[in-house]
Amino acid sequence: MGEWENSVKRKMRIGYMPQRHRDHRVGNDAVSFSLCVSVANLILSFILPPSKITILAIALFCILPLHAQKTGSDSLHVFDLSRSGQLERLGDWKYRFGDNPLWALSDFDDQAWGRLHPGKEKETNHGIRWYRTRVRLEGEQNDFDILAMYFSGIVSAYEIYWDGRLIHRNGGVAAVQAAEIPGDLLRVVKLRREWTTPGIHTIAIRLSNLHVHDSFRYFRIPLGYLSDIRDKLNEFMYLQLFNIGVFFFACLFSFALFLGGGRQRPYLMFSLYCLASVLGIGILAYQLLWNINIRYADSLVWLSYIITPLSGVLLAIFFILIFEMPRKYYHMLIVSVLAVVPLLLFDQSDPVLVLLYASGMALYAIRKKVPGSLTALIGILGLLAMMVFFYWGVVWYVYTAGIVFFIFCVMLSISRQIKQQNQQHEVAKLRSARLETELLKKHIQPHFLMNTLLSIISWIREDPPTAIKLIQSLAEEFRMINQISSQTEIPLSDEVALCRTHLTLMGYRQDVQYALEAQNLPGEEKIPPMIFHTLIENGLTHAYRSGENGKFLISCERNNGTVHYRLWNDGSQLEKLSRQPAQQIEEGMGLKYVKARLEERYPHRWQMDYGLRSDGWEVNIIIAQH
Amino acid sequence: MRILIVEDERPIAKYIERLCRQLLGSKIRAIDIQHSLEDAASFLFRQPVDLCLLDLNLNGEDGYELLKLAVSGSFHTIIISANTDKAIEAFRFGVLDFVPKPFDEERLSQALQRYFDRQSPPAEAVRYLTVRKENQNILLPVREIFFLKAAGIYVEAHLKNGRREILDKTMDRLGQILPANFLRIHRSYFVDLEAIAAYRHTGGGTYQVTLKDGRQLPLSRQKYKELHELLNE
Repeated sequence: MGEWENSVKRKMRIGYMPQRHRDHRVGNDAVSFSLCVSVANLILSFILPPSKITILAIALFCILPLHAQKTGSDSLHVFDLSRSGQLERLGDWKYRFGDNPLWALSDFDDQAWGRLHPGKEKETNHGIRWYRTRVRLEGEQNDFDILAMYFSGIVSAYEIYWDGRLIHRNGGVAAVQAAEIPGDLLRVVKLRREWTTPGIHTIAIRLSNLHVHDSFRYFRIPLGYLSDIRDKLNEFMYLQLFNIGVFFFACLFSFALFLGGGRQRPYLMFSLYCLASVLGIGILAYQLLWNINIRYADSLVWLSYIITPLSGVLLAIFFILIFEMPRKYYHMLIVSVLAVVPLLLFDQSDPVLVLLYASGMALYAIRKKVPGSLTALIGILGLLAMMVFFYWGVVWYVYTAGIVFFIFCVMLSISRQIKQQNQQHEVAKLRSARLETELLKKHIQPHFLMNTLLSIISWIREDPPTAIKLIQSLAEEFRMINQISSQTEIPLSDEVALCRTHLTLMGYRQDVQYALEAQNLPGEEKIPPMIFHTLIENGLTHAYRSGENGKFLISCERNNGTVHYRLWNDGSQLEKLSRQPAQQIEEGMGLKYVKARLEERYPHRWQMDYGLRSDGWEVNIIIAQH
Repeated sequence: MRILIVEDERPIAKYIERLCRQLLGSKIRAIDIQHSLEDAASFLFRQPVDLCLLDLNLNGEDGYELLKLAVSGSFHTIIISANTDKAIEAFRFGVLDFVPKPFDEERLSQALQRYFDRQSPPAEAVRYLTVRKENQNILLPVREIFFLKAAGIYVEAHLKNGRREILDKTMDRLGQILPANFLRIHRSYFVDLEAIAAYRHTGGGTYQVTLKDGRQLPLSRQKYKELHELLNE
């Protein structure tokens, strides 16, 4: 809208559009515009049949001079009184430092004054200065309305002269800061019907700017019918409120996801990003609703200087987390730099660079098949496209549409991730259930149970006391397994006890002695159930001849950050086993069970190897601690 | 008779041995115990037996290889196993019986009886006979067999495709496991009933079967009656 909104927008672009660039076009940009048209013409000439090109070319050459004439006039704005619904932005200012009451007069010759160019002068804050411009009113004025000018956030204090007559005063203009009285942020200056007769009028502004830290630059003052100015203000206001609403609900929603969904940090980051955006737009809307003193407005603008890059960084962190980027702190550092550097160098706080970086990360995530990353990329590109459109001067609605599209895509992306997490959770639950069943099945499977029962029968004939001991150890083993079956980890000491019971039982069955020695086992260590039990079962199957005694050894070593379990056993058949091709030893049901258990309990941070070593078979399991 | 018990658990092996002695008494010439399949194979190489009581864990891939190895021999095989769900498979490979663990005297007695009894067919008809060829055990589907002919201590299997294979089994032992559609028409011949085109009395107390491919086989007098009854039912 006015000059102040533009200055705010420069600093917190997340929800606002810069009008600076639109301003450019009206002056010298007519040249670049016509250049663009010529290039377009050239391109079109290759596509369209010749007759149509001619028509098109003629049409364009008719329009261009009009455009140039309208925008390139020297210090003279034109406003057609008979056409309502439009605003003329007064921008071709001439200026001079100093203070002289004569400078207000319409017939004063300001030819020698300096010209204010878009985006060039950086105003230093000393003393009083004057600005002058002229407007030609044409046609007949509307009977029901009066003209007005809209001033927003230019400077600390100013006086406005219409054809030499003081018509408005905001604050108190002074040459030194102590004497200056800061005025309000916004002013709508009404022009009486008798002042706005057709013809050329001079507008002069006497101002000082000693209470605002930020220097001001090229500025444009909208002139038009009062109702049109009010309409524009309302339109702007409603859009900002809508933007706030969108961000506010996204903020609440993702915060609820964070609270209710297992405190996952990405949701918190997105919630914070939305909150920062709400604050950013809120500052703007707040000042528009309640016309505050320029001093406070100035500090609020500074606040938004911090909020905008911060929101960009939060957004980037959100993407770093949901895209599961490796070396996330490194990426966070980069985006922080990308957010701050444009602000320091170009007074430009848009997260454009951050968003470009985020789209790069999205591409990486798509390659890694992270769910929802494609949706997120579409959202980011959508937002970027809106920003680009915006710089070209497309209306505010486009920006709001960009925000809505972006938030929708992010939510869709989040929901895809939640869906995948649910699926993974289901799979994990099923796997746990399956492992438990496997554990129980191992002991009611016929090979174990029926052989044991037959063994009991044979011992009853041969030596009843041994039969009783065998029954007891079978009962003991069943009792232990029943206790641990539903657990995902058990104390190592329980596992060792279970192994010993199993070895006793198998000893009776084979009529031999099996021993298990445990070396420096710490008491509090926990492991998934029946890991060693299964490995010992394997050992019994493969390592020993019938009637041969056996010896097993379990040890546990803690090194920096890892726990190293080792199971060793002897056996006369091992030589033969080692001659077999590796894949034959590999992947029996037992080993699959052990690996599945380890993966369930220590995902991606365990390793296991086995082989013939130092007169025996050795299995090594190494688990990295968190 | 000579019996080989293959069982890795010593107490069970001893128990089986004792039951066998108890049940068969003086019929037994010798009982040997081996604790691994490998040892059993090398033992069989040195010492032929009549019956093998084999503990076989049929779970896992090598289970069937071992089964094929076991049934390719000239001896009868009785499987003693805990995996009863594999029993039907075992019968299809031509084992004499399948005894589920744990078993009692009665069940083992039944299985041993089958060795002597030529009438009662196994619980499930054999589907494959195993042929040993160049140290490999090749499965021969029973439905491919046209007729079987005695050839010394071996049996020659004539297949429907015209090929011939040598089986390391005696006629008597094959008779105990072959399905009911195979009739022993002569001391030296088993014929698939489906393969018979005609049979007649050729005079002088000799009888003849003509097969569908025109081949003529001798038919014994007692079997002429049996065949006549079977085909006119």
